Amino acid sequence: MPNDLDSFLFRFVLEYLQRKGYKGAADALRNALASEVPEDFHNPPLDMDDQVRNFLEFFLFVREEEKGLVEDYGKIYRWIDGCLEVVRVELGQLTYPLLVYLYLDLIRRERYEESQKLLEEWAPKFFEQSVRDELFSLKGVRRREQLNDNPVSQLYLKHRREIFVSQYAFELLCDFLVEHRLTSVFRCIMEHFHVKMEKDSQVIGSEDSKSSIGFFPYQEFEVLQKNEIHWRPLKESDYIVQEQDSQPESHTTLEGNTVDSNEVHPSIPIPKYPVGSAMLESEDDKLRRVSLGIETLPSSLMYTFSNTYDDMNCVDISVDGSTIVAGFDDSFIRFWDGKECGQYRLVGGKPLIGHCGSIYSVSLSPCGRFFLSSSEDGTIRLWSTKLERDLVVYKGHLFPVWSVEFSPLSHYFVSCGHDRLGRLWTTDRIFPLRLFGGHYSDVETIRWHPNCCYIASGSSDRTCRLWDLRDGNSVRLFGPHSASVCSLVFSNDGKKLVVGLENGQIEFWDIVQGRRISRLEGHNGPIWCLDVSKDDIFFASGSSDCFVHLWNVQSLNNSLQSTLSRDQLLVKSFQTKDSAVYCTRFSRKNLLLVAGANL
Amino acid sequence: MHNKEPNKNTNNEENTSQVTDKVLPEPEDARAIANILKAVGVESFDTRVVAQLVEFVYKYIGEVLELSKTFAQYAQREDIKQDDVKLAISSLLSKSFTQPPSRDVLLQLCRERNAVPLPAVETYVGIQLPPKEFQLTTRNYQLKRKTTTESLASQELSETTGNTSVGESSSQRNQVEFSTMDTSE
Repeated sequence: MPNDLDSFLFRFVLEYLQRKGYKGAADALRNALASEVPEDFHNPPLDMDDQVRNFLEFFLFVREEEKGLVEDYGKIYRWIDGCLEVVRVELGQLTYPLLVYLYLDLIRRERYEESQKLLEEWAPKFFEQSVRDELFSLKGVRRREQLNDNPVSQLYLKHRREIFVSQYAFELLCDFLVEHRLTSVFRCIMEHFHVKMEKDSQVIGSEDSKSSIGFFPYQEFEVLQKNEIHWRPLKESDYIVQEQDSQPESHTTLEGNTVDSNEVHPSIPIPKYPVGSAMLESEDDKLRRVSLGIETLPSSLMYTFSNTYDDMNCVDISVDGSTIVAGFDDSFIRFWDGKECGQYRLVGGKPLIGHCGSIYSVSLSPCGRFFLSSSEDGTIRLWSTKLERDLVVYKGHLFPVWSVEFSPLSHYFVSCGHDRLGRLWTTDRIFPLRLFGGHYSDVETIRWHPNCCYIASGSSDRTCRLWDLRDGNSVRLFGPHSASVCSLVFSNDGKKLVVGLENGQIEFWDIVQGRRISRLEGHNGPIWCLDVSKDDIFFASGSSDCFVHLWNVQSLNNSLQSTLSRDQLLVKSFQTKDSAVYCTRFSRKNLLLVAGANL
Repeated sequence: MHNKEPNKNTNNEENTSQVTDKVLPEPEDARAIANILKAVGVESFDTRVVAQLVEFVYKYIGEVLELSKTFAQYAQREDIKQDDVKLAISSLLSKSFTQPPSRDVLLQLCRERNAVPLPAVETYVGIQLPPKEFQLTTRNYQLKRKTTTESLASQELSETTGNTSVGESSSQRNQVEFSTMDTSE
């Protein structure tokens, strides 16, 4: 007769293997011990060590409670919904990820009907939110073997989800779980979540209790917060060829500028231009620049394209407002030179043919004589407006390139696309110099920092990243946002980043500290374009809801409220007659230039 | 007359899936595709989309099965097994549905490329272009010099008579042959 302890252990090991899904090993064990194992057992024998016994009892207890995960989730959901406001905001972070992890656990244990039931009953509650795409992707995971192939399930299983709650809320949660014996839920939380007791839960967007947040790499976020960002503007001597032969240091001290505290040395080689160069701001620009304020709003000029038949994808206006370039779905690019054609009505537009796919982005150089275009065929082309033809093809992305931008000092440009990378190029090399990899999904938009040392990229994984050009590393992570990022702009002092999202929200981030300053309900549609005035007083946003809004951001530094209402910041609103706005640009003289397509 | 009425309706109204459902019975495959579309979240779609997708599915499955038949034959088996199908699918994946490389591969590529320091910038005026062979404005043809019998004869003549001017002008009358060069286009 087999020893009680032995038979118990055999049975226990068999249960463990079956629970974890190691079918082969379980079958082998069962075959080996066919005759010796009793069919059933309830209690561990009495002559065991107390600690081991407690563990085994808990394990068995948990096994019995595993049926009815769907009802368990329901209980938790309803309880969290019915909690006090403060607690609900904190524990609300839990509901959506818990659903995902329970679903994945059920799939892993091959309890397929239960998993489908869980999703059918509870997923519709989250369909209104940004996590809808993740849920649709997870719906496709029906079998255990598919867990490895699905990108969303991989992300969730590889990373532990971080939850920021206060001590009080967490204790409430534990009490509730123990009281209702939701041990499986408890186990899931212990296994997949990383609960952090933080008093300061402003770090992650817990202000917004209504929207659930999809996957976000919290650990990376924490690590990157510690990086130091050199946000200050460049010294003029770094990009302007000085006429005197004296040393730059003595030159600047003569003028009274302090050298190190106000300005930064560029970390990458940048081009230098002589004083009268077309690449730089002219004296005329500086003198005639309109100084804006609440009393003096910028004048605005809008170019509306008609008869585009919804084919126009992108527009760019030069900084002096004279040249406009537009890219179309039929792979044509048209440009209009305002100086040639006349002031009010630009007719025709010379079509430029070169790409073999829709054009998704165009970017004019600061001198206005060249521009870049990026397309669905994976290439970027450099065009000359004087020669009216393309000059160079840059191949590197093999997938659609969503955005391209010339650096403010020319010579360099960056591009980003569907292959989840951003690339740094120079106009004289057909291979990229830097690759910026780190986003989890396509990179939609990419922008230069005013001091040319950093790049910001926004992606459809609902985060933005700041990259250092010298070594290509990500130095900041901005997120999580409630929708994918459509547009970005840096403020001219280099300290703030304005992010426009696909659901019409605008978010302000402080780059130096890596914190969100505030959030704004800007528009009713995706925000296609943003630009900041040269003195950082106003910024303009344009969207597909046919409005251009002008916002006052001077007060932003003073108020650190989490969500601002529109009335506080909105200064003026321009409504176009049914034209989606594709480009807003403040010229060097602070004139607001807007371009849109009237379908 | 009875038959004509349904046709009239379909011509006038929009060709949505809801309308055609009432008029004609849908083949099973089309119904399956329509269900798949609805499951992914596409609520309304044209019937032509369903037809297009059905064609695509038939073509793809045909390719997979042909390839798996080849694999089965290679293994000297008559019937196609699940492993053959799996192998066929994974071999076609690299050809038809190329995806961007996985995150690990991307990060490694980035590390390799970013280790190279940025090249220095020399002071120029205007925009710098890459070397001539990478520009699109380069000459993408080559002149090939071919000596004709005329020019050979005149060369002989010039040698014997010492009249170099004659020889020069005839050798300049080269036959131009065009051969395209590989450009970066």
